[in-house]
Amino acid sequence: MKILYKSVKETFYNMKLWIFLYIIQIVPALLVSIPVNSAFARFAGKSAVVDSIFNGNIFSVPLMEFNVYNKDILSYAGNLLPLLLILFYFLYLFLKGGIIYRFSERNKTFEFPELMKKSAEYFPNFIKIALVSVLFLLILFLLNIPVSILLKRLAGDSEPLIVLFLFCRILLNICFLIIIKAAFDYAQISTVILKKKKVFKSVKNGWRFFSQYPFKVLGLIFYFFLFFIVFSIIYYLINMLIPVRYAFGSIMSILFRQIWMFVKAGLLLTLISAEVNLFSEYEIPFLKWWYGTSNNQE
Amino acid sequence: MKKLWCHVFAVLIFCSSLTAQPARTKSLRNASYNIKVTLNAQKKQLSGTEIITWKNITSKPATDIRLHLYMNAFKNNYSTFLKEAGGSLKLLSKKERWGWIKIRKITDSYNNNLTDKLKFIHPDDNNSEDRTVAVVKLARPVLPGRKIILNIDFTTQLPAIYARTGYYKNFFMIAQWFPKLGVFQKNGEWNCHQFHRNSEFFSDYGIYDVTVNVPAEFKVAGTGNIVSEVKKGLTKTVVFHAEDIHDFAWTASPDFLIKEINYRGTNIKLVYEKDHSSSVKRTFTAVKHAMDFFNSWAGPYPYKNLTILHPPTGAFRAGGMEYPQFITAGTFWNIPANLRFTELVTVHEFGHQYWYGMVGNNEFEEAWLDEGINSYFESKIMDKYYGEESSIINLKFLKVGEIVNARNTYIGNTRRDKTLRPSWTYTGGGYSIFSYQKPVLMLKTLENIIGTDLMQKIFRTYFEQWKFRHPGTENFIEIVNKVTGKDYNWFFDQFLKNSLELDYKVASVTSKKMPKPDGIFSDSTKKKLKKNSDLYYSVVKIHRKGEAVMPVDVLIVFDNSDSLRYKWDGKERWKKYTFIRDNKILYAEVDPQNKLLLDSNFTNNSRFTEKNRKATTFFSISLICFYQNLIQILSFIA
Repeated sequence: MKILYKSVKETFYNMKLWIFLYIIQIVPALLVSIPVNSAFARFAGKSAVVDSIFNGNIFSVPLMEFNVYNKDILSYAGNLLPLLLILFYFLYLFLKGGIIYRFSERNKTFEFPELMKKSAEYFPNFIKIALVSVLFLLILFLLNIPVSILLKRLAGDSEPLIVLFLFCRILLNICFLIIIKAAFDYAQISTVILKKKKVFKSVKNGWRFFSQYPFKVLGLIFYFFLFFIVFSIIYYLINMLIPVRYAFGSIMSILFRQIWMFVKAGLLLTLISAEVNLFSEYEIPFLKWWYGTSNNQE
Repeated sequence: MKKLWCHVFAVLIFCSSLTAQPARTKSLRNASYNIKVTLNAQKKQLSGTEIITWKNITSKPATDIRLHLYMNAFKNNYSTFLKEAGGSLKLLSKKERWGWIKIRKITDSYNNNLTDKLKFIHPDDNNSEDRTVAVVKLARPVLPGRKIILNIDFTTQLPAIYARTGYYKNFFMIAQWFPKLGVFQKNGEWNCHQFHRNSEFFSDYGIYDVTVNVPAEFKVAGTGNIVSEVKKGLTKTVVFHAEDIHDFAWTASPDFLIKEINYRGTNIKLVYEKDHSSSVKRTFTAVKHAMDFFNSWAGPYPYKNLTILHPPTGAFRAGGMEYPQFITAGTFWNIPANLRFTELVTVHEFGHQYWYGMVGNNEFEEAWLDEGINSYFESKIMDKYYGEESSIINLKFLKVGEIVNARNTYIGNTRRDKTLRPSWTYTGGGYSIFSYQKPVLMLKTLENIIGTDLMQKIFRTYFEQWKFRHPGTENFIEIVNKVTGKDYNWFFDQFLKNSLELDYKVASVTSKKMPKPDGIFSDSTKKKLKKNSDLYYSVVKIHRKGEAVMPVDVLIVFDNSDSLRYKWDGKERWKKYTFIRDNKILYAEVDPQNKLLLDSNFTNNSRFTEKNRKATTFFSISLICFYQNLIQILSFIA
């Protein structure tokens, strides 16, 4: 909790970084949405049925017919979206080195040139770490094949068991994905904090850190998950109460939803900050003890 | 006195002749079957004999007979059925998984051995590898009004359940399993089509006496009444009897659970396995709703029995099929109550007891008469008992009703094909759209035009006139015209026999302030114009975008809430309405009650003068947030 509190403070301290992250998240969303929105306004904007989209049902007349009669624009959006997601992934991977560096250097104010410089410095290593993580994901995927065959055999024709095993498999996969994600997060952090240049050493450090402090690492993620769930419930409850049919409600809805997006961007930064803090708090004293010196750089 | 006695005697003879006259049967019963068969559960094989009694009810002699041998559809991947099915045949890919039927011997009542006279034919597609229809040259023709009795020894190898019929472990769904006659038509030709992926069945009515021998531990259910069930050693013998039906199917498994209720004088038997226990009540409720509805919209269910099967896990491909007095539905373990797939399939398949079972149209050539009419009934029943907006799915953010579902499938495909065509000639998903969904919208549109009461009368009359007979599309249209007293051929020509698109659109709505009066006016006009200085010139243009023509209502609403209603015959391409009033138009709408469910675009049916910014903004926010969420998920992963 102490680490969490510290991390929240640091996130607020780096408000510019927070705003920057929010902006880079909204830009691709706008790029895809704008043409679709204007096509929708042209198609249904003046129709009496357009009001029915407020009921939120995807089978409401204007949404259903928009989907049928605007295949061109929807396929354009459908093609653009994966491209933008890939680009965003690399942009975020690029920035992550700078973000980690920012949180590792406490009490310094955020500077954009520094973010770019540090991001560029760590980007090649981060790409390599991402490639190694793909290997782990591939192993997880391959492991799923015999596991699903085994579970299918165990379940036989019992529908309750089929459902139970399906949920277990999904749950196990989520657990493994969280573990892989955590280990590679610490591999990225160790690259920045310990100035590791060799990717495999970073990956090894990440996994070692995870295996040394599994409960702390997973506990941190668990807390974030808990916060996320609590915030989500609050968000959905308030969002439901906003009367979007009225002009005032529309403006409120825009603001409230974007505040929520902003909060989620902040949560992401807080998670990174908390992971950096956890690593600094436990790994650096350990390395000092291990090497008997604070100079453990390669 | 002697004379009097003679009279009395004559009257008595007349009366006795009256009572001795056989009771009028429901159907002509010209194709009856007496089948005795044994199931070898190990080999998944049936072996038996059948006696077919066929009467030629036409005025033409029959020199041959034609038999459906539909299990041969699963004989190899060159059969017409499997070629049309495409996709993976993995389920059948082992030797013991293919299915076939073999006629070992066929003789007539004069003991002529006709086995060598049997030849396979392929009238639909000339596929020489298809063995689903056989012709047998008779030793002597069957003259009009005469009967022939055929004795057939046959063996049927059941396939692994690929579609509708076969086995899965110890479960057997046995349909299309015995040699069955085609229909000898008035023109002296047989109507006996090959088995296709997208086609169902067509046969004459008769009496079926079926004796099945199964391993003693098996439970058996199927078409008709179980007359006797006797266990002897390791075997159980079950005897079925059914009248006025045109097919027979049955099912067997040692793991069945059976629940029975009696409703409206019918014994309803539900056959299921223990994982599906939670669906028992739902299934009974659904079938009761269906029976109630059909009772008032067609006629009472006349049989004493109805069997419903929920196929076990692993055998879902046996589900969703109809056989006389026996339907296969389908369900899942603890399926949530707001997902009404179990109800939907139960209601649909029950409906086929009427539209297929009793009203026996040719399903190959005019599938809409059973699938389409039945889907229309399904939609009415589901909407009535489960709510129009959410009759299929009733989740908080996803509600799907029958009409929405039908429109969603149809509107993007309006011109793709037509409804009246042989079912096997459709391509892609055309069969489903034009035999199921479009007829729902077409009949619902007709109902909206003529009224529910007349529609009900149409179906009651159609059922009454054509039950246990073979009607065609023209017979149905004839009844529509007769009951309504109007000629609706124009309607069916456009939407049934052709595929014209129906789309009326409010093309534009404008209201402009009139300029200040300038020029030469009479004094009275000048006064009037001065009095109404804020006059607006408004124009509404309605466009018939599609080729189809329908009379439509037009509603025009002004900003002071005044409204005007017009009836337009819808024939011209354009219709223009102009007004000079002291109010602007708020919006105009064509077909404001959405009567024309075949209209391919409801969104363009109405038009405001101004854009609805609140709704479009809401759409924008939702869309942006959706993409933002995707991007944020990616950020957490990276």
